[in-house]
Amino acid sequence: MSDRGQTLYDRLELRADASAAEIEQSYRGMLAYLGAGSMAMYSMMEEDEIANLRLQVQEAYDTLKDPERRAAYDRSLARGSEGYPSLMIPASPTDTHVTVGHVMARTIDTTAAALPPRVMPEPTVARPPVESTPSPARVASAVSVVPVAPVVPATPVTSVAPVASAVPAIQVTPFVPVAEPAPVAVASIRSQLVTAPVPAVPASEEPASELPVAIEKVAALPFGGTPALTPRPWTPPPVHASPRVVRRLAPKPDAPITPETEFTGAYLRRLRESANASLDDMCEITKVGKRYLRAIEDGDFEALPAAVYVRGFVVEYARALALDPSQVAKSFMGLYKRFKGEGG
Amino acid sequence: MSQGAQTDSTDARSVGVTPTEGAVTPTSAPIASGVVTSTGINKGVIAVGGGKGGIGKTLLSANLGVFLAQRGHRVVLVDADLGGANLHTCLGVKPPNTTLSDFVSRKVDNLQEVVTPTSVPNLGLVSGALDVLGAANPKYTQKLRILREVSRLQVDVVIIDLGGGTGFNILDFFLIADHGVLTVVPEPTSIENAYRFIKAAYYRRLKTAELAWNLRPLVEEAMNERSNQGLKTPADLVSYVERRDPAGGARLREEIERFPLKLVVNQVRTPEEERLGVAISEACRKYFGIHMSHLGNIPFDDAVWQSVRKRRPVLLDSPDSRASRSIIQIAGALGLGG
Ligand SMILES: Nc1ncnc2c1ncn2[C@@H]1O[C@H](COP(=O)(O)OP(=O)(O)O)[C@@H](O)[C@H]1O
Ligand SMILES: [Mg+2]
Repeated sequence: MSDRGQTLYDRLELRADASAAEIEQSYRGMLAYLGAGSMAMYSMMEEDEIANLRLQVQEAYDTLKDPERRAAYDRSLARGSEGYPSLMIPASPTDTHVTVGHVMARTIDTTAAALPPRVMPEPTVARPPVESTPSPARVASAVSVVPVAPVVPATPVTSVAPVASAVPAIQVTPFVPVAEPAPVAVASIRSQLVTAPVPAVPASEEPASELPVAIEKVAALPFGGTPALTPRPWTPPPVHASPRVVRRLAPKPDAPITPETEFTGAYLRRLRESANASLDDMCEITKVGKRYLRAIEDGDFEALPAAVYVRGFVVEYARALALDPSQVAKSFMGLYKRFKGEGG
Repeated sequence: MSQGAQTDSTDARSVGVTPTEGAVTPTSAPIASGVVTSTGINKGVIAVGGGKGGIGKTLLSANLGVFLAQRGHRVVLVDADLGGANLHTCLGVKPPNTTLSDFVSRKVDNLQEVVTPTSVPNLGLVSGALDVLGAANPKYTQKLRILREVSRLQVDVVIIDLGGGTGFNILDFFLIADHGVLTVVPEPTSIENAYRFIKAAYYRRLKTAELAWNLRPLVEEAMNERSNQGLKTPADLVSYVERRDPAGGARLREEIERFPLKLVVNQVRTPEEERLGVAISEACRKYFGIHMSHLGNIPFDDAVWQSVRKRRPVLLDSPDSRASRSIIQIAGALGLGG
């Protein structure tokens, strides 16, 4: 079950010459047990381990289902940059717990690597309506009840794509070798990402994921151009313009939020409390560990992991409160960096 | 009848592993299966477990028995449910006078003598497992004797209805079976119990298997390392052994692949639940390294509880019900449909 050196094909248990139909079929088959609504793996592993595996499969599928991205990936494989290293943070062999973003991945095997926070959206097509039968109610709360899409044979890839296919296909993908060391590259993509406008997608293609997605559009972002950052008052986008459906709270700020508003941990906590949400609620919505949420609210930077993760957490936090994620992240990360700068 | 049944043991009706298979397959020689190598003459032992009560173990055992008996197989049902022996009720017979304890106390020498007839021709019942196996510490030799005799019963098929737990007694019965059938219902608690059962059975099998001399210490080491090395699944354990002894690891893997696990999902109501069996079996293959084939589903069907009230097997009470038809399909999936 080693992840290191595992190719995207390995993750989907496919050979490198797999057809589009095989990719689709394998992915559907895996979703049947890895999907957020599936009971099949209940108690077999920790929920976060399952989520981590789900991410890996989703990542593989997202790349391989797209002919252009697949071709680019194949070229990088041929060049010998095996695996899919750019998003992976190798775990130290002695670690049994590797904290990666909001995924607390217990390595299954000592060579396992983990991923930064990314969450797989659920496919939307062919999803049966949530049944009115009492069956979902019998599912423990730990298991979300999104019905798993049935295994569909080789349908055209575009029609079942769970991720917004309206995103312009840009050839630059995370696995394309870059001059920088991979983790740095990821960090830079990520920092662009959270400030990047999210392209609107047709409502019909929205994944009905209950899970927040931090950097699902990584692959669609060019390396070079940082989108211009013009501070402007944040208006939450209409739901259909978002590529994800996240449960949002309705905070009641005591003063209107302006581009100048500073998002300290304490202020975030006040906003959360004004929305009548407990830390546990926040934890459930954002999937960020309570420990980290508390550290964010306490401004306890010491207790927080590397910037790249903290940014991910804060983005999720902001989303949950229907705030402008980029403004919140920028503001909070400014404080974080100032602290780290002082600390050494 | 007995002659006919034995001579056609190679046809489609034959129940999986024949008693001599372990001896004639050279690769399997160093690793014998289970506690007791089945040396009986019957075609097969089916054990039905699941680590939990109320999930259809008795429903499946009783009705598989009825169906196979109707097809002319000689079948003995063994009620080994410690906590809730109720096969006799499901079959509408009084609690039998002679029980397994008579065999254990050597009042009778032959297990065959404690088989009581039922209303279904060809279908016998061994009851009273309760007091024997429920004893705090049944003597190991006693248990071996029961296990040995069960697999030697002069019949075609033995079906053991196991209790809900994962204790050694239950597991050892499960492990002598040619078909270890797990039932689950689509509820997290049931799935949790099933995985607990699978793991326990698996480790029990490794513990009791006759491993090649050089493999035994490694496996024991791996089992001891389980908690502190994060060897959480059977697959991890095999990887652990494989890293230290590639050839031995490969043999172990082979052994594990032969673990005769089968899955039945009961009380299925929705299309999503219909797909659960395949999903579980895939997850098991991928993350446990265990092959557990999905035999089929039994729908939730009012005919089932209605038949239970009448103390009649649903297959007799309502042969055309969806539940009955699904059980017949499951027999087919076991290779016993003919
Ligand atoms: N497929 C089914 N449809 C409807 N009711 C069922 C079904 N399976 C089981 N039941 C109900 O559940 C009860 C328990 O089943 P049983 O086979 O005795 O479980 P176990 O032997 O695992 O304890 C049955 O008496 C019956 O009323
Ligand atoms: Mg029972």
